[in-house]
Amino acid sequence: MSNIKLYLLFFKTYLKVKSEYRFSFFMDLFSQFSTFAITYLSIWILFGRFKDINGWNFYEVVFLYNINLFSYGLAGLFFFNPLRFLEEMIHSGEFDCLMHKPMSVFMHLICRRFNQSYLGYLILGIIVFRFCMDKLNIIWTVANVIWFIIVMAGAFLIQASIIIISGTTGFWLTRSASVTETIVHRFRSFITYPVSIYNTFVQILLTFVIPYAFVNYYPGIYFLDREDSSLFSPYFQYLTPVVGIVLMILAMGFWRIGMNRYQSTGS
Amino acid sequence: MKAYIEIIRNSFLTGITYRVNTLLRIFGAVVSLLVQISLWYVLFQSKPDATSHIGAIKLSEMVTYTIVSTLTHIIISNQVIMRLDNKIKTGQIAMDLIKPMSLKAILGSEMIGTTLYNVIFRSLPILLIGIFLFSFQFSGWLNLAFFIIALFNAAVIFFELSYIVGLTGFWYTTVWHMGRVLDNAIRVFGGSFIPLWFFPESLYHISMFLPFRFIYYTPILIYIGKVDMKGVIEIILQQWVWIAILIIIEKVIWKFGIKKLVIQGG
Repeated sequence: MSNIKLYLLFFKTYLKVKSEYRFSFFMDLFSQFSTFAITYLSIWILFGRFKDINGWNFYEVVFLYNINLFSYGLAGLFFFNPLRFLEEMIHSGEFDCLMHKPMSVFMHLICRRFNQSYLGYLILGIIVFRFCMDKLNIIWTVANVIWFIIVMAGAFLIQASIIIISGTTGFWLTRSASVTETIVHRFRSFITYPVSIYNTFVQILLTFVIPYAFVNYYPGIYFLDREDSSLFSPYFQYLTPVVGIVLMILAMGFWRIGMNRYQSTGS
Repeated sequence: MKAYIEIIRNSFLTGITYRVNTLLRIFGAVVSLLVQISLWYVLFQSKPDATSHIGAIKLSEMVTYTIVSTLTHIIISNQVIMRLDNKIKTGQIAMDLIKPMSLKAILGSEMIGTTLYNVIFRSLPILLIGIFLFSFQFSGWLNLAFFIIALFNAAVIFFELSYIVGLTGFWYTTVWHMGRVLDNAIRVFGGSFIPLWFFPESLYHISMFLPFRFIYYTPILIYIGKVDMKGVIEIILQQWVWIAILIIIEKVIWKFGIKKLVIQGG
């Protein structure tokens, strides 16, 4: 509880700083907004020429992408900047400052940086969810709504864990920022489209190694009530929350190993 | 001149220093190739070719388009916007302005160094992967020769556009936002992912009035051999016209901007 209170305190200070540069704040949102708007535009252009992508129609593909975007936006809001700049903080010695405060180092790291530009993802995500809800044949029973929220929480945990794990490599590598960017930006682009379009190797990679497929593809099979055209067990469509929790435990373990290894650059 | 060669050498060497970075970027490029090519395979699954503004398109042409587009992206990329953003924020631009060298030539030399590095260490591996893994098609020496001319022009156009966007930093000190918007505009209207031949009528017409298609779409048309000799000459001439227009815009912006420039700190 006290952690949440503390986060809000940090957040308030952060907003005060940002309100000094109001134009910049809105441009942060707008530039992120434009990036994802063009992804939707690209999908729309493709569907103008082709009827479906491996049997998935326009709204289904948008729905899948939107789960990815929204859960990533939520995870990025809190975790992207702290972990992306961990490497830099270790080099400059700034990381040492985190270690002699009466709170957990990880918590403090998360509190110090916030990335408002990710709010752009969330706003766009909500608009697009609203827009494709009517076109999809999902029956929103109470159970389905609750399950959807649980799945989103699981997807959030998966996205957050992957950001944390790739950022934590900064304790070992000098250029961990490019690891984070390669995995989070490039590798994640696999799940812009249904995972079933890729060859077996990529599907195994996305299921067992870097399990992005659990963010949107497997839950999508459940909600859109599709024949599972992928290689694996039909039970996989229910596993998103489990994968999320397990991955988060692994991520925190990895962080602890990194912390134990940490030696200050001592400047 | 000697100073500029030194800058080229330096930015080439900077690239080489970060080997892990190079590997990661190659890996990233392979991922995005794999995503796009898998997508085209699935889209062409049930039919031999797709209709477009310039006639039927075959899957093999689409795969080649994607690989050439990825190579183009690697070769023409520059850090002009990021560098200007940094120079304006830190006030280093004041030092650059009092040097007996032109700011634009400094940035241009840096780009040449980076491009040399990119051609050797990033685009060659991708080309090899394209040939062995994705059946990349070689479409003749004549096409290649004209493609290289068009690619050079494309790099100049992209450099000019980046420089113009970078100069807006004279008014508004955070440039990367606009850089992002420029990248997005090029990604759609340049045809770097979806070729303009698949665009709906309205977007196709809009893109005809913009310079972006001369960066990816039209050079790749030349490589694949989708235009005749007359078309090739037309494309290259149009690229020159756009370069001239962009240089004029840049000069005007520079003239007004330099009066506006506020040097921070120093």
